[in-house]
Amino acid sequence: MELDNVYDKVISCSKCGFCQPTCPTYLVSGLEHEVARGRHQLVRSIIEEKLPMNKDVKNTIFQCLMCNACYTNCFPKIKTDQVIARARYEYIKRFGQPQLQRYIFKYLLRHPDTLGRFLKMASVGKRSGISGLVQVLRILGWFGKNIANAEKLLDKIPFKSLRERADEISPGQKTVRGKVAYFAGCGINFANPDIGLATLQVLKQRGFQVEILPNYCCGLPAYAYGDLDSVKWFAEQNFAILEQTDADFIVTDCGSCTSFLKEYHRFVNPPDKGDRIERVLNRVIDFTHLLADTEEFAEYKTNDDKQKITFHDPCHLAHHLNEKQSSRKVLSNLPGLDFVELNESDFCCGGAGSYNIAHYDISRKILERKLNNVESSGADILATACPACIIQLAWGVRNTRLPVVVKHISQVVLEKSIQGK
Amino acid sequence: MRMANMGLVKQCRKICGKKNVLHRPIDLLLYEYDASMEKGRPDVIVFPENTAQIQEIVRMASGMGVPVIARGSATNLCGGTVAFSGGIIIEFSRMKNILEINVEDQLAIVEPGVYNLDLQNALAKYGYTFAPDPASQKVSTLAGNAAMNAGGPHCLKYGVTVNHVLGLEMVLPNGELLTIGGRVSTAPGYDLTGIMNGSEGTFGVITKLYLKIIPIPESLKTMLISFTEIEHAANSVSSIIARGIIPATLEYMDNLCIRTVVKSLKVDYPVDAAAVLIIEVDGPAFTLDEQVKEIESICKENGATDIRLATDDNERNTLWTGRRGALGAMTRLKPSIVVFDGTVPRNRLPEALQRIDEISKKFNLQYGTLLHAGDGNIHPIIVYDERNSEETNRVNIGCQEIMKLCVELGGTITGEHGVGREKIQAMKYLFNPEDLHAMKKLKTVFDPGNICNPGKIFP
Repeated sequence: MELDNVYDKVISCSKCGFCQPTCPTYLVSGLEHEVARGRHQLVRSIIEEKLPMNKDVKNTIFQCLMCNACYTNCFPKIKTDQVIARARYEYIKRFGQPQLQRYIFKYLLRHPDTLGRFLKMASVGKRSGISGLVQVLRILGWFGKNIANAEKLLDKIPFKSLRERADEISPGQKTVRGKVAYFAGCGINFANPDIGLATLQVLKQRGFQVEILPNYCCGLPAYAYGDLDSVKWFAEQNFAILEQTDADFIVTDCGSCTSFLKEYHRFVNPPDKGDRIERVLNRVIDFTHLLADTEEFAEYKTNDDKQKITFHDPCHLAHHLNEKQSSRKVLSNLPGLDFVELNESDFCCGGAGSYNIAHYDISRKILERKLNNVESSGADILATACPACIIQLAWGVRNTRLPVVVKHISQVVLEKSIQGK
Repeated sequence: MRMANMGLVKQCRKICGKKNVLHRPIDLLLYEYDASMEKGRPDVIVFPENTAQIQEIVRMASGMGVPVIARGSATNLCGGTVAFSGGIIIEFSRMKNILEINVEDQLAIVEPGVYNLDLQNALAKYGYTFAPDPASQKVSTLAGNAAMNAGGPHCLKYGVTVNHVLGLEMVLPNGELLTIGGRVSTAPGYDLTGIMNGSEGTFGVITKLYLKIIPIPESLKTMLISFTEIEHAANSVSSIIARGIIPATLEYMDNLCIRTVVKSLKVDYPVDAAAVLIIEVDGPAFTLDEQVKEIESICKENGATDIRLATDDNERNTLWTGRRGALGAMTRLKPSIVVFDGTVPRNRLPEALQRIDEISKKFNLQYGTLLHAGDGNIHPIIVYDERNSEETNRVNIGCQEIMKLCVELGGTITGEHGVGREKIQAMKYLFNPEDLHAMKKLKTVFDPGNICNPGKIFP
């Protein structure tokens, strides 16, 4: 069985249990099925043929958020997301991939123009094809649960994608500080183009020369549903595109894309592999990280009407890339803001791509814990750096009427822009 | 068999509700282990939400002659929470509340499933702490700590869990609720609280704990001391204690552990040292400089080659990072790991270390050593691959040899991890038949039907 190539990982789980207090699904369920230790033992039992791969194992394999919070506490440093992705791959190989997922990962995301046309149709309110589209969007999770519950909210789908709006960006500084190739994640391009515009605008203001890459989906949604064959396709296509650019930095403003691009060495296999992959992946950097590294922070006079801001660490930045410093460095140096720490800031929001739709009940409990922490922080603005988190958090804030605004960090930076102060 | 099983499941559902009872093959598989290498499949797992449900479950189990095994986070390293002869696993993940923190009485009252560290964090707001700090404190439960009488680095100065439990509420096998001890530490009659600590769930099920809390010490000083000979480090340990100094912690790491943590944790430990001691003293600030000076001079007399004193919290944390991460770093050398846990009298430490090395060479074991050196508690960490049965066999025999050695040197087979299933044969090395008989008689007083965690502690 192909699961064998995760055997070395699961066998090294010492069952110490340290994953428990960090695991969102364990903390809301209290079940051994819902924590890395249990998941490792389950996969191990399947490999050792002590447990059949049947439908009883489905929840344990599919309810993992793949947030990798367990990794932070893990002594043998097992990347549970890799174990789970492989187990999902084997599961759908055995029981078949749902038709809709096959359509999305094997057709729609591979033809972004078609997807764009669909979205445009939906956006202008043409009823034809909307129901199907609703299902598609549910799987991708770009528009949160609203889509699932109420088709009428479809009019909120942006008419134009980021790529179509790129000309709205005003020219930047003349001094060129470097070339940036911008990798437009789908969640930004199709669902939140305003965020992408803010990111591009900030980069230009700072003197970066920007090109928008003609990239495909990074492949993470397919990874999350265990479609590793599609992941390979996306990785290979994108890798070829990334290799073309001579930019100094390959930047995304989606933490999930950033971390997944950095994983491409697992999926692409060019000849003289090492060097070529390294040359590309070393230039991949999250927007927040780039800003923290290159910004010239100035001293600001305190003013009285400061807004309190806090930051939710996207799992893919905090746990997959171990990157938590940059956001704090940026936010605590912006004028007019008072940065406060969020308790359990790196605890998943329950969004996890489209997890919030596939596993509504668990996701809601995880979100509840997050929102309680947001409330006690007393923040006016909740910033984060991943469009999937933004959809989930904004949904939660609307539902609970918390007096807090959810924003992407690039939007905050643009508004409080320290340039030309 | 199947019928009896479903009958049991039905009974459990009646008591705890359907959603709080698990029994599918996959469920049983996921509750068949703890952090040791032992395994055993239960018949059913229940998640009680209150004490009354536990009473009913235990009463029902007694009637049916079915074992009950209380299980917290199952972090124990001895097979203590493994359902070795089937039965009902009682899980505490729905009973995690801190019921009271009372600074005037220096007391905390908690439900069984509270994590040790969660209590520590709650107490820190009041400037208080709960002294037992097992390495698993992030995740081990307080009832588990009491049941296994857990230790930790601070046990040298402050004592093990039993010294910090004022009282317990327990469900006995007949379903009755026993409350022993309580808000004050002195009570006439038999010290039942003492007996229950370390009883590994063989007398009943703990449902509430009254814990002694103490103020956080005013000040701390932490040192890292290097030695070129293992013996010099071990001698320093006994000299320090002999001089009447009781540090808060007195930890030892050998060269393999040092090199492993330097490699994987990027800490700045001396890679050439044969061993290091990490010594921390605590108390009123004005008393510490004197203690530090004395410890320094004792270690120098015994051949210490380098002494570092942490000057701020940052440096102190860095020193501890290596020690705290040592076990974890060792797990990266090979897939499987056994943490041995014996104790020898302090003055026999040099001899113990020497002979453990001989045993390891004899059986070709790869190991590193951590010690809670202050109380003679030795933790050789043996790494291996459990898929290799020949190697696994060597590890098992080696462990038995080490336990025999500890007893021979006047020590015990376990310092803080408990006997569980793993060390029951080794109890024979330590106790004669009369000793064991006396203990077993006590067991029958509380649990005549032998339903509480059977097959543990006694050979």
